[in-house]
Amino acid sequence: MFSIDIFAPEGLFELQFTRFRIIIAYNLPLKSAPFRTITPPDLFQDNAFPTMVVGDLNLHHPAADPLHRFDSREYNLSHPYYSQASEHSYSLLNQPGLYTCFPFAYNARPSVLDLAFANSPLFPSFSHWNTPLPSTGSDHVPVLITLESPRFRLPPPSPNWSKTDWSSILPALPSLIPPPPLSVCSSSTFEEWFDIHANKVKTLISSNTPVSRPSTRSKPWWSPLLSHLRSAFHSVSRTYRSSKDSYDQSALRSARRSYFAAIKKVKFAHWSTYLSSLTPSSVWEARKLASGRQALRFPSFPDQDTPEGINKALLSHFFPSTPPPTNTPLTLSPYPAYFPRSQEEITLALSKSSNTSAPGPDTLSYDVWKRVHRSCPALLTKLLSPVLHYGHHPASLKKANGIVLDKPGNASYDTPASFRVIVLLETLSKILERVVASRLSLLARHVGLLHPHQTGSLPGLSTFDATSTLTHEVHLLQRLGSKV
Amino acid sequence: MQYNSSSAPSPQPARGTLRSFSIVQHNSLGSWDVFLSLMNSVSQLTSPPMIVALQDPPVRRGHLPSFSTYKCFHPSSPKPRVAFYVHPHVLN
Repeated sequence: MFSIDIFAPEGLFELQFTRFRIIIAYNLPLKSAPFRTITPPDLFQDNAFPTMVVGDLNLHHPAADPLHRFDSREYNLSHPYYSQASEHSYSLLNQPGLYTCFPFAYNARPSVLDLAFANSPLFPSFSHWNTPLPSTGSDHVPVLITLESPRFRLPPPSPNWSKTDWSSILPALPSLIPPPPLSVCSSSTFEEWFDIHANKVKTLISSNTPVSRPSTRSKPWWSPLLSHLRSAFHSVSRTYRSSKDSYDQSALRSARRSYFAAIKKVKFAHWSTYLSSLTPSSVWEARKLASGRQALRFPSFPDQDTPEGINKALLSHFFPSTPPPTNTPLTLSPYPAYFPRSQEEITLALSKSSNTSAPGPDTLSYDVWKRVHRSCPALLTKLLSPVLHYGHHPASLKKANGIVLDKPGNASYDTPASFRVIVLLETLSKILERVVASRLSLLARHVGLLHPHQTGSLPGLSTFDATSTLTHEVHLLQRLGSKV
Repeated sequence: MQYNSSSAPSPQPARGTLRSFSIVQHNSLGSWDVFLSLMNSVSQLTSPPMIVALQDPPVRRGHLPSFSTYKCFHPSSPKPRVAFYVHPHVLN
């Protein structure tokens, strides 16, 4: 193991830190377990400045290769390293499931051995991890890790769910049905069980989905013909600029005319088709498109002059610090009075979820889960049931994207109170939430917790019922001679 | 109709700060061929990495190979198992 420190006196990646440490490790097998040649505490140091750990760690773990089945020896060997990394807030940078080692032996399987971790001060600067370099003759693949200032980074590509290769995903789903967790386990073991099995499904889906990076300027009506005409127009334009010939000038005019006429024609055809295909539910999208998008108002507070300061002011306003829970149980065990979750409950929860609802950090939309559940109903049931059965909500389901929006109509926008946050939770968490909400609703009605005339937010009841109740009460009082 | 080919303005970097940084990580199996092949690929990248982190670098008579302007840093051992090759841009 070896490390170097890099100093940038004026700042690293526009963060407040001026020092950055890279640790390289070659973690060779030892005859005597439980560790390799480098112990977890040596490898993952608790540093307050940006630190990266890279190397051939010779460890097999589901976090790096979610779709592979590991034996207990491999898992027991790698677990202390990943636990130590997690304890000191190191995040794995590898793309899960992308192999980095292809052994020469014909009977050895490919694996993910070349790992890279970044601690929490460095992680915001992590841009991407990939393997763009050609083979070097080694059985390992060269890995390129890029760190960048978050301000200059392009938005991450988003999965193009319309092009997902479902024919590869659906047959593999039954093999991912999770076994039940241990009957008595700690909260961390339970969370690990959940994360491993949830990540297996997510990795399978995302590895069979191409990504796209739509630009804010991308045009839905653009066609290959327009690309061809544009390149012809630019080519003729360059020729004319160099020659200044009258013949080239007339060719330029002709190319420009045909290019812009084609744009006009294609745009008209696209929007005519779009308008003719509108349905009563999608007509509001057309209205939004026609009215245009309002320019984003970036928060600017008089007492904060840096992005970090604005970020802290917003966070402390929206999420004031609360003391951590004190009565967290050390071990979890199934509740005996648990009513098992049925596949129909999840089907019902999914049927009420909109496909266009914005997803959380994992970018998986309800539409994806609906297809997964239709094909393999036992998968989501077996994955989500233990969460209720053990009464423990995994931390991975609490991750969310927060979108800061300005409150319309305010006189000034110089305080955090002029803004609000929309929290986008992961869709898997919201499916679970919907199931619990429907159970609580049924239970509340069953035990009489709700007023008998409550009609709002209850399934099967509507304004009609509220009006009928009111009319009935009025008629009853009139019959009794009361003045209504 | 007007055709506008201009792109959106990009933010200006803060002066003197380290804005972008890339690292290549590889296990060269103690082979000179692997090392040369890797460094050749690295030198052909449009933006060469600032650091090449090698596991099991080739060693001959206690010395690690040098390549172009990259400066080698390794543990003081007769046969180091890891090494860094650092781009002169970082050293400057």
